[in-house]
Amino acid sequence: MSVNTASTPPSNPSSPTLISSTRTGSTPVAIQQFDPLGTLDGRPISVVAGVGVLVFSAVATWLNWGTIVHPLLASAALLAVASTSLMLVVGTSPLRAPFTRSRHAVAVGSSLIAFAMSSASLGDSAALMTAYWAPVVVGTSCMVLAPYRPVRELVAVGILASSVTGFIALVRSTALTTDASPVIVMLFSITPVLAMSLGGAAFARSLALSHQRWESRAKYGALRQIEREHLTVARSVQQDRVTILNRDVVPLLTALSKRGIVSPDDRARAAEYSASLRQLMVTEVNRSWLESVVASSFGALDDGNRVRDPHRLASGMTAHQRTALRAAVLAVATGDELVWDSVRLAIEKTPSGAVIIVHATVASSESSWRSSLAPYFAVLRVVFTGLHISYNSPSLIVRFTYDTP
Amino acid sequence: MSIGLPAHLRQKSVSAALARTANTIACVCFALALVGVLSIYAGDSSVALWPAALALIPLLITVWLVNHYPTSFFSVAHILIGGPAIYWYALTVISQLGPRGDTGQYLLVLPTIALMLIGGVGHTIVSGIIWCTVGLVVAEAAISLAAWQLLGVTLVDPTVFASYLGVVAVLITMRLSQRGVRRAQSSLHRAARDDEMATLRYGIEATSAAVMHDTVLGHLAAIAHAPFGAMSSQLQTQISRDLEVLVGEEWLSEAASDGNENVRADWQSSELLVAVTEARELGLEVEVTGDFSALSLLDARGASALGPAVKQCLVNVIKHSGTMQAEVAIFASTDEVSVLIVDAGKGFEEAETGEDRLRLRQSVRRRVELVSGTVQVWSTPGRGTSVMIRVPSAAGAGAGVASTRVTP
Repeated sequence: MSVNTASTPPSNPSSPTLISSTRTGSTPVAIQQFDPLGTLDGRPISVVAGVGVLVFSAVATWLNWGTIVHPLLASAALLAVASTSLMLVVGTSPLRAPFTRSRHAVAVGSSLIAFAMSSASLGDSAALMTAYWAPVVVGTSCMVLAPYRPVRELVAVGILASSVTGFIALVRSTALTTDASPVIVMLFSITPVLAMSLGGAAFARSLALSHQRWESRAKYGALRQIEREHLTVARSVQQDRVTILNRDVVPLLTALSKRGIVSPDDRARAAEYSASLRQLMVTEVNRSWLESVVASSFGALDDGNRVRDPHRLASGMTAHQRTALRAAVLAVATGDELVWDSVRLAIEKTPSGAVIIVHATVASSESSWRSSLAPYFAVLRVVFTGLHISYNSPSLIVRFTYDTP
Repeated sequence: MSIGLPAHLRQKSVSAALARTANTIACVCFALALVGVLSIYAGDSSVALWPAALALIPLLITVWLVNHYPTSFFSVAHILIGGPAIYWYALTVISQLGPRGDTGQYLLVLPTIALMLIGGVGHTIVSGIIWCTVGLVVAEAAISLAAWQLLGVTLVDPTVFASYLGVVAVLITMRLSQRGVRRAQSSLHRAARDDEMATLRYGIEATSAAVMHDTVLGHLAAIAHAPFGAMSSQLQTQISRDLEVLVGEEWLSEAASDGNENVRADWQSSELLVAVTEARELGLEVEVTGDFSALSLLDARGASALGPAVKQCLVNVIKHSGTMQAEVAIFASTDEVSVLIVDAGKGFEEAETGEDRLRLRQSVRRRVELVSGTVQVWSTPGRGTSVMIRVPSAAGAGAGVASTRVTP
């Protein structure tokens, strides 16, 4: 009896999605969460800004060296800017996604410290008694990190950073020898911070709303598509079943129905077909969606042993997790970065859920597989937790976890 | 649902987001300029800066309009109104603050940068830079004209040009970076669609498997254990019905379920009572108690799942419990209909039913869970078995669908 097990049984068809948002666009998640690839696309901005603020700070400090009376503080300020720069360049890497709140605090906090120290390093001859370049660094940090943090946090950090900047400027203005009023000194300092941080928040909010609108339209479209496809898929399933049954079962039942007499041979055949059908159904029930995806992605190259999931934990993934993993499996199966035969997936139980461990042998250079698979890692990092990549040429091990119900 | 915006929508969305960013920064700049001139005026009323404050009002209004109606019309209006307004503003600031100092320089830079940021409304790199340049030229021209008129010199601030270069660099980088991961994005969208289709197929296959279990498997087993010779008329009838069902398509389509909508109106023809009747025909003594009208709370899918599930439970009583008596109790809340099947037979351990565990899993548990219902089994060897089947009512089904989770 032939066995048709090509179908995919995802066990939580309507599982709650990872991403949710409010009508106002004050999304509780960052753009990086609902559009990791878009954020990856925009990462050059973070890198350029990270390098730019360091160069800008160094040049501005050098140009104003004559007004600096505490070189040590000025140097320390540059170190603080270097910390901000490092966070913008390295912290936003897709290999370290998602960008956490603490990284956000370090990036903006370092730039504020840089402002305080650079302003304190200035003598009385400095214009407005503050390092004019430092608020630009604070504002740039706030703005560049807009895709990585939720809108509410961006606004809160922007206002907080503006307040701190204004306070430092206000304190420095007491030693001012020019005719500028303390309010003007304060406004001068907070302008780049407030403008750029709120600008960044507006950017994040606008993209969040765009995504929200598209998602609601896409959901409706998907629902309609499913309705249209229902009959086609149903017929396909029925055809699969009928093909199986037509070979042996239907002839037996038809003959018995007509004859009305059970022979020893009928009994033996009925027992055999029953056992065979039962085995087929058990196999289908036990086959997870991941095994089906791996089998169909690797096609003839699949040996049926690539996925080891003894606790049937693949069924606990959400729709987004299934989508991300499905896309990654297909990318690996159709790409030439990894040795196809070497790819193995194991899902093991953990106290809070499950861990997926992917073993593979790399067939290309490190830069090649890293750049080819970076988009998929970026997405996996966002929808799963604790993604860890361990590469010891040519062996590659990727681990990531998720919660199970 | 896929993750992230499709590539063709992202560029448009990023352009819109950049416009919002630029307008927000412009708005903050105008607002801070307003606060600045008002603070100076409040500190020293002899410095008549209130006309400068008035000049900023139309700029705040036009930038608000551009933000809400990002069209060329409002962008042009913003620049046309912005030029004279900045001229008037600069005239006031320069005349009142005398020779330019830090304060004057700061106050003049703010509206210039704000007007330049109109470049954010451009949908392409070129149009963005053109808008930006026009805004810068108009603002600088207005300030230079005012300075030339009052001081005889034109004023050029390097901060403004540095900002201009920064904005142009951001526009170019943002727009050029929208093409790097299109292949991966397409893969994600395809994967999302495949997952939806797999989910659909899975649901239909589960129905198919349950039907196959209830029909073919059951009757093949009956034939395998039947005595030689003439088949019972009951088995013969059921086999004939099986063949009709299997060859037909009704059992797979939603339409089949919808056809049973009349269970709402007439619970007596419900599939649950059909199942009880069939079990009685097999010799089982079934006592049905509870609120029969509760079945009218079920929608077609719920009713279609409940009947065969209860039937399988009753068949299990006949086959495995060692007793020919069972009780079916029906009760309901507003959200769900519950049916309890109780026997006082020999009981079993569900975990010890081995690899061949299709009956409870396929025909009862899986079928019920597909309609967001739940199945609980309490069984103690020697003391009997109780199976509680809960199926969401028509009112509760909508909410239940969102949390469907099937245990294989």
